[in-house]
Amino acid sequence: MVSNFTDNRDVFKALADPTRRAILSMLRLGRQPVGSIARKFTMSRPAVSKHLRLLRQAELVVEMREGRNRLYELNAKPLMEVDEWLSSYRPMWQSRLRNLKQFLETQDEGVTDHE
Amino acid sequence: MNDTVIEEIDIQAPPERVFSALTDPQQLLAWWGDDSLYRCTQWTADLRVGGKWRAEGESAQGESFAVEGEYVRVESPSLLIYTWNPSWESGPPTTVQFEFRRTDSGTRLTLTHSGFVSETATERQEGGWKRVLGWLCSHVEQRQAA
Repeated sequence: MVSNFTDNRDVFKALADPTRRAILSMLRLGRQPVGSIARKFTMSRPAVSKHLRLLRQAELVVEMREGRNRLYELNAKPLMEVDEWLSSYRPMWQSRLRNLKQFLETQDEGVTDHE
Repeated sequence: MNDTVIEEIDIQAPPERVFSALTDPQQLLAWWGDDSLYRCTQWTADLRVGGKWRAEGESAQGESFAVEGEYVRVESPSLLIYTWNPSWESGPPTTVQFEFRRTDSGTRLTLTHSGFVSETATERQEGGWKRVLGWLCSHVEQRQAA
Protein backbone atom coordinates (compact mmCIF):
# COMPACT_ATOMS: atom_id res chain seq x y z
CA MET A 1 0.00 0.00 0.00
CA VAL A 2 2.67 2.49 -0.90
CA SER A 3 2.55 5.26 -3.47
CA ASN A 4 -1.02 4.82 -4.65
CA PHE A 5 -3.44 7.70 -4.96
CA THR A 6 -5.27 6.99 -1.74
CA ASP A 7 -2.12 7.27 0.31
CA ASN A 8 -1.24 10.53 -1.37
CA ARG A 9 -4.56 11.97 -0.32
CA ASP A 10 -3.80 10.82 3.22
CA VAL A 11 -0.63 12.88 3.06
CA PHE A 12 -2.57 16.00 2.07
CA LYS A 13 -5.11 15.38 4.80
CA ALA A 14 -2.33 14.97 7.31
CA LEU A 15 -0.67 18.19 6.25
CA ALA A 16 -3.88 20.20 6.20
CA ASP A 17 -3.92 20.61 9.98
CA PRO A 18 -1.83 23.22 11.82
CA THR A 19 -1.20 21.00 14.86
CA ARG A 20 0.15 18.21 12.70
CA ARG A 21 2.33 20.64 10.84
CA ALA A 22 3.65 21.89 14.18
CA ILE A 23 4.46 18.30 15.17
CA LEU A 24 6.33 17.74 11.92
CA SER A 25 8.21 20.96 12.48
CA MET A 26 9.29 19.78 15.96
CA LEU A 27 10.49 16.46 14.57
CA ARG A 28 12.68 18.23 12.09
CA LEU A 29 15.19 18.63 14.91
CA GLY A 30 15.34 14.90 15.44
CA ARG A 31 13.31 12.04 16.89
CA GLN A 32 11.34 12.74 20.04
CA PRO A 33 9.48 10.74 22.66
CA VAL A 34 5.71 11.00 22.49
CA GLY A 35 5.63 12.56 25.98
CA SER A 36 7.71 15.56 25.07
CA ILE A 37 5.71 16.10 21.89
CA ALA A 38 2.48 16.10 23.90
CA ARG A 39 3.86 18.55 26.48
CA LYS A 40 4.31 21.23 23.82
CA PHE A 41 0.56 21.39 23.22
CA THR A 42 -2.26 22.53 25.46
CA MET A 43 -4.59 19.84 24.12
CA SER A 44 -5.09 16.50 25.84
CA ARG A 45 -2.67 13.65 25.37
CA PRO A 46 -5.26 11.49 23.51
CA ALA A 47 -5.85 14.40 21.12
CA VAL A 48 -2.12 14.59 20.39
CA SER A 49 -2.03 10.81 19.96
CA LYS A 50 -4.77 11.06 17.39
CA HIS A 51 -2.75 13.58 15.39
CA LEU A 52 0.29 11.32 15.61
CA ARG A 53 -1.77 8.39 14.39
CA LEU A 54 -2.89 10.33 11.30
CA LEU A 55 0.69 11.31 10.59
CA ARG A 56 1.73 7.68 10.98
CA GLN A 57 -1.02 6.51 8.61
CA ALA A 58 0.23 8.99 6.04
CA GLU A 59 3.73 7.63 6.69
CA LEU A 60 5.00 11.11 7.43
CA VAL A 61 6.29 9.91 10.79
CA VAL A 62 7.63 6.59 11.94
CA GLU A 63 7.09 5.23 15.43
CA MET A 64 9.87 3.33 17.16
CA ARG A 65 10.54 1.96 20.63
CA GLU A 66 13.55 2.64 22.78
CA GLY A 67 13.22 0.82 26.05
CA ARG A 68 9.90 1.90 27.47
CA ASN A 69 9.78 5.04 25.36
CA ARG A 70 7.85 5.49 22.15
CA LEU A 71 9.75 7.77 19.83
CA TYR A 72 8.63 9.54 16.68
CA GLU A 73 10.81 10.30 13.72
CA LEU A 74 10.09 12.37 10.62
CA ASN A 75 9.76 10.57 7.30
CA ALA A 76 9.38 13.01 4.43
CA LYS A 77 9.53 10.47 1.59
CA PRO A 78 5.75 10.44 0.90
CA LEU A 79 5.99 14.08 -0.09
CA MET A 80 8.15 13.15 -3.03
CA GLU A 81 5.45 10.79 -4.19
CA VAL A 82 2.84 13.50 -3.83
CA ASP A 83 4.95 15.76 -5.96
CA GLU A 84 5.19 13.08 -8.65
CA TRP A 85 1.46 12.49 -8.48
CA LEU A 86 0.67 16.17 -9.04
CA SER A 87 3.22 16.32 -11.80
CA SER A 88 1.35 13.56 -13.60
CA TYR A 89 -1.69 15.82 -13.92
CA ARG A 90 0.28 18.36 -15.93
CA PRO A 91 0.96 16.26 -19.06
CA MET A 92 -2.61 14.97 -18.89
CA TRP A 93 -4.08 18.48 -19.16
CA GLN A 94 -1.46 19.53 -21.71
CA SER A 95 -2.40 16.72 -24.05
CA ARG A 96 -6.11 17.32 -23.47
CA LEU A 97 -5.85 21.02 -24.29
CA ARG A 98 -3.82 20.23 -27.41
CA ASN A 99 -6.61 17.89 -28.51
CA LEU A 100 -9.19 20.60 -27.91
CA LYS A 101 -7.16 23.09 -29.95
CA GLN A 102 -6.75 20.66 -32.79
CA PHE A 103 -10.43 19.79 -32.70
CA LEU A 104 -11.53 23.42 -32.87
CA GLU A 105 -8.99 24.56 -35.42
CA THR A 106 -9.44 21.76 -37.92
CA GLN A 107 -13.20 21.40 -37.87
CA ASP A 108 -15.48 23.21 -40.24
CA GLU A 109 -17.36 26.03 -38.47
CA GLY A 110 -20.80 24.54 -39.06
CA VAL A 111 -19.98 21.04 -37.81
CA THR A 112 -19.16 21.99 -34.22
CA ASP A 113 -21.88 24.56 -33.79
CA HIS A 114 -24.40 22.87 -31.56
CA GLU A 115 -25.84 25.94 -29.92
CA MET B 1 6.50 21.72 -5.21
CA ASN B 2 3.10 23.15 -6.00
CA ASP B 3 -0.48 22.06 -5.38
CA THR B 4 -2.01 23.77 -8.41
CA VAL B 5 -1.77 22.78 -12.04
CA ILE B 6 -2.04 25.74 -14.43
CA GLU B 7 -1.99 25.38 -18.20
CA GLU B 8 -2.60 27.95 -20.91
CA ILE B 9 -3.29 27.55 -24.62
CA ASP B 10 -4.21 29.86 -27.52
CA ILE B 11 -6.95 28.56 -29.75
CA GLN B 12 -8.01 30.04 -33.07
CA ALA B 13 -11.71 29.99 -32.35
CA PRO B 14 -13.97 32.44 -30.52
CA PRO B 15 -14.59 31.87 -26.77
CA GLU B 16 -18.19 30.84 -27.48
CA ARG B 17 -17.03 27.89 -29.55
CA VAL B 18 -14.33 26.88 -27.06
CA PHE B 19 -16.88 27.02 -24.26
CA SER B 20 -19.29 24.89 -26.24
CA ALA B 21 -16.58 22.31 -27.05
CA LEU B 22 -15.89 22.01 -23.33
CA THR B 23 -19.51 21.58 -22.29
CA ASP B 24 -21.37 19.86 -25.12
CA PRO B 25 -21.19 16.05 -24.61
CA GLN B 26 -21.24 15.34 -28.35
CA GLN B 27 -18.19 17.52 -28.93
CA LEU B 28 -16.45 16.33 -25.77
CA LEU B 29 -16.68 12.75 -27.00
CA ALA B 30 -14.98 13.80 -30.21
CA TRP B 31 -11.85 15.31 -28.66
CA TRP B 32 -11.57 14.35 -24.96
CA GLY B 33 -9.21 11.41 -24.78
CA ASP B 34 -5.89 10.19 -26.00
CA ASP B 35 -6.04 7.08 -28.18
CA SER B 36 -2.74 5.76 -26.90
CA LEU B 37 -3.84 6.05 -23.24
CA TYR B 38 -7.63 6.10 -22.97
CA ARG B 39 -10.81 6.93 -24.81
CA CYS B 40 -14.15 8.25 -23.68
CA THR B 41 -17.25 6.26 -24.37
CA GLN B 42 -19.89 8.37 -22.71
CA TRP B 43 -20.40 11.97 -21.59
CA THR B 44 -23.37 13.45 -19.82
CA ALA B 45 -23.71 17.06 -18.72
CA ASP B 46 -26.46 18.94 -16.96
CA LEU B 47 -25.02 22.33 -17.73
CA ARG B 48 -26.20 24.62 -14.95
CA VAL B 49 -24.85 25.60 -11.53
CA GLY B 50 -25.33 22.58 -9.30
CA GLY B 51 -25.86 20.30 -12.31
CA LYS B 52 -23.85 17.10 -12.64
CA TRP B 53 -21.47 15.94 -15.35
CA ARG B 54 -19.96 12.53 -15.89
CA ALA B 55 -17.47 11.01 -18.30
CA GLU B 56 -16.93 7.30 -18.75
CA GLY B 57 -14.24 5.61 -20.70
CA GLU B 58 -11.72 2.85 -21.12
CA SER B 59 -7.97 2.83 -20.79
CA ALA B 60 -5.77 1.37 -23.52
CA GLN B 61 -5.50 -1.73 -21.31
CA GLY B 62 -9.29 -2.09 -21.32
CA GLU B 63 -9.94 -0.92 -17.77
CA SER B 64 -13.01 1.22 -17.38
CA PHE B 65 -12.96 4.51 -15.48
CA ALA B 66 -15.27 7.40 -14.73
CA VAL B 67 -14.85 11.01 -13.73
CA GLU B 68 -17.74 13.04 -12.46
CA GLY B 69 -18.45 16.33 -10.81
CA GLU B 70 -20.75 19.24 -10.39
CA TYR B 71 -20.87 22.57 -12.18
CA VAL B 72 -19.92 25.42 -9.85
CA ARG B 73 -19.89 28.36 -12.28
CA VAL B 74 -21.33 28.30 -15.79
CA GLU B 75 -20.75 31.70 -17.39
CA SER B 76 -20.51 31.36 -21.14
CA PRO B 77 -18.26 32.45 -22.75
CA SER B 78 -15.88 33.57 -20.02
CA LEU B 79 -15.79 31.15 -17.09
CA LEU B 80 -16.46 27.48 -16.38
CA ILE B 81 -15.78 25.82 -13.03
CA TYR B 82 -16.61 22.28 -12.02
CA THR B 83 -15.58 19.79 -9.38
CA TRP B 84 -13.45 16.81 -10.36
CA ASN B 85 -14.04 13.44 -8.75
CA PRO B 86 -12.29 10.55 -10.51
CA SER B 87 -13.11 6.89 -9.87
CA TRP B 88 -9.39 6.11 -9.51
CA GLU B 89 -8.81 8.45 -6.57
CA SER B 90 -10.34 8.71 -3.14
CA GLY B 91 -10.71 11.83 -1.06
CA PRO B 92 -12.70 15.01 -1.57
CA PRO B 93 -13.16 16.27 -5.14
CA THR B 94 -10.75 18.83 -6.56
CA THR B 95 -11.68 21.86 -8.68
CA VAL B 96 -11.16 22.47 -12.38
CA GLN B 97 -11.50 25.99 -13.73
CA PHE B 98 -11.47 27.22 -17.32
CA GLU B 99 -11.07 30.91 -18.08
CA PHE B 100 -11.77 32.14 -21.61
CA ARG B 101 -10.20 35.40 -22.77
CA ARG B 102 -10.93 36.83 -26.20
CA THR B 103 -7.76 37.58 -28.18
CA ASP B 104 -7.09 38.90 -31.68
CA SER B 105 -6.65 35.38 -32.97
CA GLY B 106 -9.42 33.74 -30.96
CA THR B 107 -9.28 32.60 -27.35
CA ARG B 108 -6.69 32.28 -24.64
CA LEU B 109 -7.84 29.39 -22.48
CA THR B 110 -6.43 29.05 -18.96
CA LEU B 111 -6.96 25.86 -17.03
CA THR B 112 -6.45 25.74 -13.26
CA HIS B 113 -6.75 22.44 -11.42
CA SER B 114 -6.62 23.04 -7.68
CA GLY B 115 -7.91 21.99 -4.28
CA PHE B 116 -5.63 19.01 -3.72
CA VAL B 117 -5.15 20.30 -0.21
CA SER B 118 -7.94 21.66 1.93
CA GLU B 119 -6.96 24.42 4.31
CA THR B 120 -8.55 27.45 5.89
CA ALA B 121 -8.30 30.93 4.40
CA THR B 122 -5.91 32.04 7.15
CA GLU B 123 -3.63 29.10 6.53
CA ARG B 124 -3.63 29.87 2.85
CA GLN B 125 -2.61 33.45 3.57
CA GLU B 126 0.25 32.33 5.73
CA GLY B 127 1.50 30.02 3.03
CA GLY B 128 0.47 27.21 5.43
CA TRP B 129 1.18 23.76 4.18
CA LYS B 130 3.21 24.87 1.18
CA ARG B 131 5.87 26.28 3.44
CA VAL B 132 5.89 22.99 5.32
CA LEU B 133 6.19 21.08 2.06
CA GLY B 134 9.11 23.29 1.14
CA TRP B 135 11.15 22.57 4.23
CA LEU B 136 10.17 18.92 4.39
CA CYS B 137 11.39 18.44 0.85
CA SER B 138 14.67 20.14 1.59
CA HIS B 139 14.96 17.94 4.69
CA VAL B 140 14.63 14.81 2.53
CA GLU B 141 17.08 16.10 -0.02
CA GLN B 142 19.65 16.87 2.66
CA ARG B 143 19.30 13.38 4.09
CA GLN B 144 19.59 11.78 0.68
CA ALA B 145 22.70 13.80 -0.04
CA ALA B 146 24.27 12.87 3.32
